Amino acid sequence: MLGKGAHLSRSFATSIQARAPLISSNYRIASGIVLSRTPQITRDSTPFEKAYFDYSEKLDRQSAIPLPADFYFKKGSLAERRWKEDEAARMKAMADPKLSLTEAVKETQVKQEDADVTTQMNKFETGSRLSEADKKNDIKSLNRALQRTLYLIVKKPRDQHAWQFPQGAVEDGEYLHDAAERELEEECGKNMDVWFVGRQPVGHYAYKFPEDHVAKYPGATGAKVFFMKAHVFAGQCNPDNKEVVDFAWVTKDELPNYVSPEYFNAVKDMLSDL
Amino acid sequence: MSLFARTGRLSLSRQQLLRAAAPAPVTGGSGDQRLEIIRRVLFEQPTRETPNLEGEALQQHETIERAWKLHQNQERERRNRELEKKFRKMSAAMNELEKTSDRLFKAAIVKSRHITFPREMKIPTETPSPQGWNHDYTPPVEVVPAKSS
Repeated sequence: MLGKGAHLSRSFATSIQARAPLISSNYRIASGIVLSRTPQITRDSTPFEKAYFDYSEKLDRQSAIPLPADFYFKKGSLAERRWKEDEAARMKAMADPKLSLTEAVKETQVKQEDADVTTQMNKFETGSRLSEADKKNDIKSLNRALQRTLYLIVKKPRDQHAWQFPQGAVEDGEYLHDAAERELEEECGKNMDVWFVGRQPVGHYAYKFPEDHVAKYPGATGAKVFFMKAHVFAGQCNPDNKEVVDFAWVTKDELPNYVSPEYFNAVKDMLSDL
Repeated sequence: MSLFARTGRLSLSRQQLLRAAAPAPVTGGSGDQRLEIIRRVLFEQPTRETPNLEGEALQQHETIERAWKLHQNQERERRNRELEKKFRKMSAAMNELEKTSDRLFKAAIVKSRHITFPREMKIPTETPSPQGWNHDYTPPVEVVPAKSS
């Protein structure tokens, strides 16, 4: 990468330690990554919304100008016959408060499709709104919870505070967004099509290291993580099994089951509910 | 629903159209009829019937409309609250960054005029792709042109 090869151009500058972590007032600066898979499908309508849509449909139909069927359909054609069946179903549904117009037409259309062989041959396949991953509750799949936003969390090889967003220390010559991209590639592999939204962090979290950690690695008593926002469009996370041993794609509601309460309180306002 | 109880009776526009079509053209073959149909579709403007609701039906309709507007308002408020929380977190993070490191802060507030959104960023659809998520993505390999020496 250009950044790593740039030391050749710096040959006239004073020697720069590229690998030293950036520490400011005893806090190590880290950049975390909030990697999200945005909702793939529109959310389900609530029962009230569905009832209102059905009501509006019927109200519109009552005052609507009827279609000039003799203009649009050739007399005696198959299309005319099908349209007349649909209209008969709609007329029946107008009097039935439980049945909506679209539901009534769906039933007749199923009958029409079953009767005709050519429509079966040309059937257009749509994906199902409830995917296989939903049924199996596969926490690593990106096909799960298609109506919600999924966030990547990774597991560090320790007991306490194991699960968190991927993060890593910012090095001395680096900027936040560069550090975030580098850390994500190192910890989660390169097999993801990721786009970082910008250079500004979307949130931060400052915490102190436990005492045994400070004793082992002197130099900083705590860390300040600045979270950078990113979107994933394809691919899957490959944990490197050194810094990160496991991963999961979870919604905001499922996050408290993995991360500690203090961490969740620090990050929850950055995340989307839906 | 009492609003749709009178569906037996034909709407005004439907009555108009039937009246217009009623004098069955005995003269013509299918050619004359087609002209009539086209003329009707092009030039007639059947009036759209505005239902005049009264009493209980009107109250029901107005209650439904008010409930919908309330629902829309609540949705909008919920969305705005979420955005406000996100913005506050971002403000706090930038303030903290300014206090922490001047160099990082200056790099963070740089804004390029040429920022664009990626093409792959699509809005939610009603049904997902039948192929689902592409878990097997690999980044494209950059072709380095061979140096001729």
